[in-house]
Amino acid sequence: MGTSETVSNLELIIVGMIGMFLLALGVVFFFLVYQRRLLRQQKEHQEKEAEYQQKLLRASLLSQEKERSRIGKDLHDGVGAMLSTTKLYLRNIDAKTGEEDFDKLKKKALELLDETMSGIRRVSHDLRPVVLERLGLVEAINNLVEHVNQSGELQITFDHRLKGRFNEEYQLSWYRIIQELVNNTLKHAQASSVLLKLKSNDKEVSLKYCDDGVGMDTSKALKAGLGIQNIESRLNLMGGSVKVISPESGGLCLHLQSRLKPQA
Amino acid sequence: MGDGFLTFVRISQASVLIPVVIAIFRYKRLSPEQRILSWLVFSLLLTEIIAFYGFTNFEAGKNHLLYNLYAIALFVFLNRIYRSILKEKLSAYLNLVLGLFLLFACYNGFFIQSIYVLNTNTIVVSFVTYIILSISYFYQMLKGPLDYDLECNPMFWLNSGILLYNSGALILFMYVNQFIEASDEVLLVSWQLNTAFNIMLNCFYGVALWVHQKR
Repeated sequence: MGTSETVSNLELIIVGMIGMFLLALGVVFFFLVYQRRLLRQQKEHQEKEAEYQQKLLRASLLSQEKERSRIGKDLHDGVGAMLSTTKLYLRNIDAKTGEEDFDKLKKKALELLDETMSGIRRVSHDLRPVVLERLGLVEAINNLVEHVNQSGELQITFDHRLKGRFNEEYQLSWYRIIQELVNNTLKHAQASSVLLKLKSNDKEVSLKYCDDGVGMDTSKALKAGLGIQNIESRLNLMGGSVKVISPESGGLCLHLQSRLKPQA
Repeated sequence: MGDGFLTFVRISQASVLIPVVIAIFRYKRLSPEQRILSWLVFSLLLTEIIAFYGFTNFEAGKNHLLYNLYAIALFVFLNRIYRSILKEKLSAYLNLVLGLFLLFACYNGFFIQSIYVLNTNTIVVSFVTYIILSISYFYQMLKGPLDYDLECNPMFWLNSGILLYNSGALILFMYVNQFIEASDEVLLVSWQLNTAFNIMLNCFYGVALWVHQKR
C-alpha cells in the first residue's frame, strides 16, 4: 500500500468517523423532536377530551335540572293544585251540609283525588317507566310508539332484532335516548314518519334512526342542543357513540351504538 | 506521538473522574441500572489507572491486554443494563448475545488476534451490538408511553452517549490495525477524535448518574 493511498484511506476514516457521529447525533435529535411532537399532540388531545367530557357533564347536569324542574312544576301545578281544591271541598263539608250538597261535594272530591292519583302515576311513570321494568325495553318502546302514533302527528315504525342479555341500567338509558329522539323529532324535525331499527348481538347494541323531516347540518348536529348532547352523554357512559348521516333524499339519519352491558 | 496529544489523552483519562465522583456521592440514591453504570465507571477508572502506570512502566502489549479485558467487562455491564431496560421480548435474547459475545471474544483473543494486540474484531462486534441496542431502546421509548420528564431519565442520557460514541469510533476500530504502522498526522487526528468522543461519553455517563427520574 503506497503512502499516499494510506493517507487517503486514513482521511476517509476521519470523514467516516465524523459522518457516523453526525448521523448518530441526527438520530438523537430526531428522537427528541419526535418525542416533543408526540407530547404536544397528546397534550392537545387530552385538552380536547377534557373539554368534551366537561361539555357532556354540563349537558347531563342541565338535563337533570330541567327534569327536576319539570317534575317540580308537574307536582306543584298539577297534583298540588288538585289537592288544594280537594281540601277546599272537604272543608265545606260539615254536619250542617245538606245531603244533596254532601253527595255533590263528595263526588267532586273523589274525582279530584282520582285525577291526582293519575297525575302522580304519570310523574312516577316519567321517572321510571313501569312497562320498562315489568316487560322490558321492546315493550316500553312499543308503548311509546303507540302513544305517539295515536296522536296522529307522527308515524313511527319500530323494528327490532335483539339478542343477548340486556343490562337493566342500559335498557333505561336506551329508552331515554329513544324518548329524547322522538321528543326532538316532534319539536324540531317537522317530520311525518320515523323509522327506528334496534339491533343487538352478544356484545353491542345499535339503533338506526331515520326521519323525513327538515334535517340538519351534520357538522353542527352534535354541537346543536342539549337533547343531542344528552344522548351523547348517555352513549358515552355505555362506551358508545353516535354518527349523524344526512341522506340525499332529505331528513336525518342517526346511527347509535353502545356496549350491551358494562365491562367487567 | 506529540506532547499535545498526550495531554489530550491524559485529559480523557482524567475525565472518567467526573462520573466516578458522582457515582460515589450518589450511590445510595441510584436506581439498579445506575448502580450497574457505577460499577462500569469504577472498572473504567481502574483500567485507566493501570493503563496510566502501564504506559510508562510496561510494554505496549500488556496495556492492550488490559483494554481487551475492559472491552469484555464493558460489554457485560452494558448488556446487563439493556437487559433491565429493554422490554421482555428483546431482553430475553440478551443472555444469549452475552454468551455468544464471550465465546467470540475468547476465540478471537486466542485464535484470531493475539490477546497482546488490540482486539479490534471484538471491539467492532461490541460497538455494533451497542448501536443496535441503543437504537432499539430509542424505538421502544417512541412506541411506549411518553416520557414527560425525558431530561431526568438517566437511561436517555446513557443511551445517547453510547450511540454517539460507538457510532463515531466504530470506523476507527474497524480499520485501525491496517494503519497501525502509519504513524502520521492523519492517524493522530483519528485518535484525537476518538479521545474527544471518549471525553463526551464520560460526560454522558456523569449526567446519567446525576439525574434521577421522579417515580
